[in-house]
Amino acid sequence: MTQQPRTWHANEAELRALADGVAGPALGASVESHLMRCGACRARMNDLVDGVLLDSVWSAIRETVEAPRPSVFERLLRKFGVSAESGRLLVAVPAMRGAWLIGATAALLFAGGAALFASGFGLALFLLVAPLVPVMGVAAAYGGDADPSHELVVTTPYSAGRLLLLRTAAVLATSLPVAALVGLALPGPAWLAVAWLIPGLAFVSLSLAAAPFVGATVSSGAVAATWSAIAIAVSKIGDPMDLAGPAVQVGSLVLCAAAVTTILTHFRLFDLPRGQT
Amino acid sequence: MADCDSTDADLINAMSEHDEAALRLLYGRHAAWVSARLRRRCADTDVVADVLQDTFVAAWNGAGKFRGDGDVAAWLWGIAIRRLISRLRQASGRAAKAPTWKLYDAVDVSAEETALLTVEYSDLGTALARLSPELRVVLQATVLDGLTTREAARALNIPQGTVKTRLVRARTRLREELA
Repeated sequence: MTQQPRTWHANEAELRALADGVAGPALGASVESHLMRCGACRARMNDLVDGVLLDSVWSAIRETVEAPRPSVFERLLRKFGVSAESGRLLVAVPAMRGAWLIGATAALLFAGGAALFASGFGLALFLLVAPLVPVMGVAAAYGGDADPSHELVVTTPYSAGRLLLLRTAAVLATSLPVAALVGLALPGPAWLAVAWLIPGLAFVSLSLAAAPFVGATVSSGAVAATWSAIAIAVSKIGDPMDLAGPAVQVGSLVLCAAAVTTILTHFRLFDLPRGQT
Repeated sequence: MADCDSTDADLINAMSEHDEAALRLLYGRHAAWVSARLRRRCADTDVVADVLQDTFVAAWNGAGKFRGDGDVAAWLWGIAIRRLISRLRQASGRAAKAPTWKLYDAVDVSAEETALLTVEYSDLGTALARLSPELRVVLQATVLDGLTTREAARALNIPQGTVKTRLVRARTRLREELA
């Protein structure tokens, strides 16, 4: 190797040795520490390093940087260990969108308000509406027509059963706190605020269990209609408080257990194309 | 607006305001030497490409946190070396007791290299070449790559106390050589 006159800068051979990875530990360390202080020599490295690699890495960087940033909520989910794919699917649940939340809150506030002015009938109305809010959320999430991301969900390479549970969790996470808050604001015993919880869970699991057979919209509609009929009948004949009474609670618990068992034993059915999709 | 005359710190500033052209310029100035330094530490081109990408994406996302008085090259290298270490550690698997990766090779300096250094470099290069490999890797990790003693201890898989004593010994040795 011919020696070039020593200047303030690293010479071509030294830089090339570094770029090619053939510089030994002492030479490498010397050139590296010089590079950290010398912009001119850093610039000369550009001609010595594999340009194809640099170009392909740049296009990858540009893609990452230009990709839309995940929403605050999505990043929060990711912090809690939810994978990026699951996070995106959760955020796409209609129940996660403002419009749904506003609708659910409005319905509950209406029922809650009615309870304030006409205690007997209003209370029945609240106890009628509150357990149905999560059911409607589930229907909207799986009904197809109500879900703009429906096409995406159908074609997603993801177990439909897992997806269903994931999205149900999202529905419950958004509708339960709203209903609980409105319930707390109502007159009457505080346990009323949670009295609809077990019926609510029972109705959700019932709608889900029936969804593979008749479709989510039909199953949740049938559940909602049945519960409404029972609720109206009970409040007409007897005390609206019976809607939150032990008979309803125990009945709901039994229903819930039966529905969950059906879901677990027929889990594979959720992966089949549903009648409505 | 960022252009070729902007300083590196200006580019980082522009990047913190989402100026993609600034990132392009910064990449053009720094990607080559960063990739060369990564390449010396890791033979796997795919890993080098990944780490290079991670580094500049992290620089883009963290541009707002860059302290204006710092040196951009050192900042970038600080990101790159740490990404490389965590990437290699991941690949080797956390379960493995002994690391299957080696960032710092404790190899002897060849006679040719020593000969080259005596001509080409000041006494420092020669002194560095005369250090025992164990002492030299500690210098490489801490002085050259800017790792903390804690990070160096993890990267070299030796106790932190050993890093400190070797660092002191290396400094004493260098001082003797250069005196």
